[in-house]
Amino acid sequence: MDTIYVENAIAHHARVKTILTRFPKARVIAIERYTDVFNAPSQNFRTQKANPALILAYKHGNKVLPTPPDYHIGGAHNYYFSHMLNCIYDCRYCFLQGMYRSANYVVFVNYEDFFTDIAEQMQQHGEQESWFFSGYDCDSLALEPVTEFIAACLDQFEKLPCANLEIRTKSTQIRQLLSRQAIPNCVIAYSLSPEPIVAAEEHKTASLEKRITALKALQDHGWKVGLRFDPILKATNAQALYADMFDAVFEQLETSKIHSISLGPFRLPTQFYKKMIRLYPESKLLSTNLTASNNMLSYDPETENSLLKFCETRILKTVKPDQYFPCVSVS
Amino acid sequence: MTKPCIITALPIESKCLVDNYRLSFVKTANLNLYDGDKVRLLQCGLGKLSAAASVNLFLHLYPQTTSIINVGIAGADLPIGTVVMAHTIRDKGSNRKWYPHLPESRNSPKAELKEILTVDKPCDEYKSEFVYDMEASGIFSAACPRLNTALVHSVKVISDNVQNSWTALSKNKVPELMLKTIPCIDQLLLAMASNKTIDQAATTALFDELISTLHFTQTEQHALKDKLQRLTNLLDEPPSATSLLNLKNAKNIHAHLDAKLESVAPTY
Ligand code: SF4
Repeated sequence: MDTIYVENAIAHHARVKTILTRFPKARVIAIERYTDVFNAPSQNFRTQKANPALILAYKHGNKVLPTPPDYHIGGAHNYYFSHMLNCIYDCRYCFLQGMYRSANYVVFVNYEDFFTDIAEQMQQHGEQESWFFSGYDCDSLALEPVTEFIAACLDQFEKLPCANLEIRTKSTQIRQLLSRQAIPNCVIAYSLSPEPIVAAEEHKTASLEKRITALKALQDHGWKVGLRFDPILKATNAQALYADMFDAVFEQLETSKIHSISLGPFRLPTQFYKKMIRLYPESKLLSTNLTASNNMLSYDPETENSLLKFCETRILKTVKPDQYFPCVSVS
Repeated sequence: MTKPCIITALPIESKCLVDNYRLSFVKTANLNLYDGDKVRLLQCGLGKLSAAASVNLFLHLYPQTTSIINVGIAGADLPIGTVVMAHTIRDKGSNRKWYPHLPESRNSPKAELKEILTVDKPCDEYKSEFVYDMEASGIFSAACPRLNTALVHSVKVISDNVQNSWTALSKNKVPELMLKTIPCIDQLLLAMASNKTIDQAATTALFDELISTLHFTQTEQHALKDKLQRLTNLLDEPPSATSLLNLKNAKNIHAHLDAKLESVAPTY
């Protein structure tokens, strides 16, 4: 991180000072609003990805939003929040590449305001449980050594028994989670893909093996863990790839203790796809034929269904139906 | 030919750069343009309006331009001869701003980073947060719709400050000051050249061959380009020109490419 933009209004915020001390050599540039830099026209996501800047900002307005209808793991009240925009990883299928103009990372430093909004949302549902998903517009743990957001978040959730937290990640930065006691209302959910797909499409992420090792360590430490097989990608050798992955994952984890498994197809909003293929015209993954429906692109229904069916069958051979949450119905 | 371009306002700013990069004047309607082996230089005239008009026309005539560096003299609350690079360009009149995406520190020029404030006429104000110039916002407003913000930069050398008013600036001093910007320009050119471009030459050649031999409507051409690129990615080589040409017309070629695309998938 060699360029850090800081909003004037938070220049003296304690968290800003702490983050800046981690990057003593960074070029620090004062800005008025993060949107001036982040949403500026004529940026190139791909070029910036090689050398992204960090933007420290204050989040105004809604911090906690309802999830899309398919985004849940069995709960009735589901919300997501993003203390950060963008990700240090570079998955070729990631919708963030199509959604944002900039590959710079934004970190909102007013964590306490997120926690207040979470508590308020939770209270709206009285005794009923609600779910809060972190890692929708970023990877929850990847920048944790810098932000320490999840540590602060867990301190809050410890005090909110009716609120459940999902920390979605591909990161193996779990030292901090292993150094504290697991809390029952938090699930650490790993997105998993077969290793050849990790190597080809999930650039800069930890290998499948390292993710499994992290999951195992978290499980041994008492954390609830979740598995997110999403997106399932089309390949000539898809069945062999996914079969190998399921074998590796289920062999090493205590399957009866897996909190939840979800399965999702490869889908992108059409507008995001158009931008992504312009950025990465050489991408094999983005070159595969996709079918349009309701402003979304996906594999043709037959291909999608057969991929999901194969995975679902394998998953349900190992875990109970109440541990399994498909993002779309599989026929 | 694809080349970067240096943009200065005045002949007096251009002179030492023209000499240093061994540039020769190119006769071009309405442009003061110099060309060399590795770089061009556009002399855009005084003020942001003239700069915007000049850059617009230049990028229309040279759309393959890879990057732009605006170089010139400027006023600031800094010692004379200090070389600065812009982290922000702000137009004083409209308050519009641009944020060049800075190269990695290790590839960046050793220049102080400052916000450039583009003013409409020379001024005696020297607020410490700004470097004052008269062209940068015009150059960015014309260049940035076509080039991304990692590829347009502004480098200034301080020629006037509170103690040394611009009214007293000697013309002989300017070339001497401009010489100081050369290491910074060289470093930026190097950093921007490292932005990789994707090699699509094979599909472009095949596309050109197909559209020059057979009739494709504009829409068909657009779709053809897309399908050829995607199929080339998936097959690791472009489809054969001969077998496509044997299909005789656009409709058959599209049907063939659709069927092919339907049947291939990546192997991981
Ligand atoms: S880890 Fe998630 S957020 Fe990060 S690039 Fe990959 S898909 Fe996107």
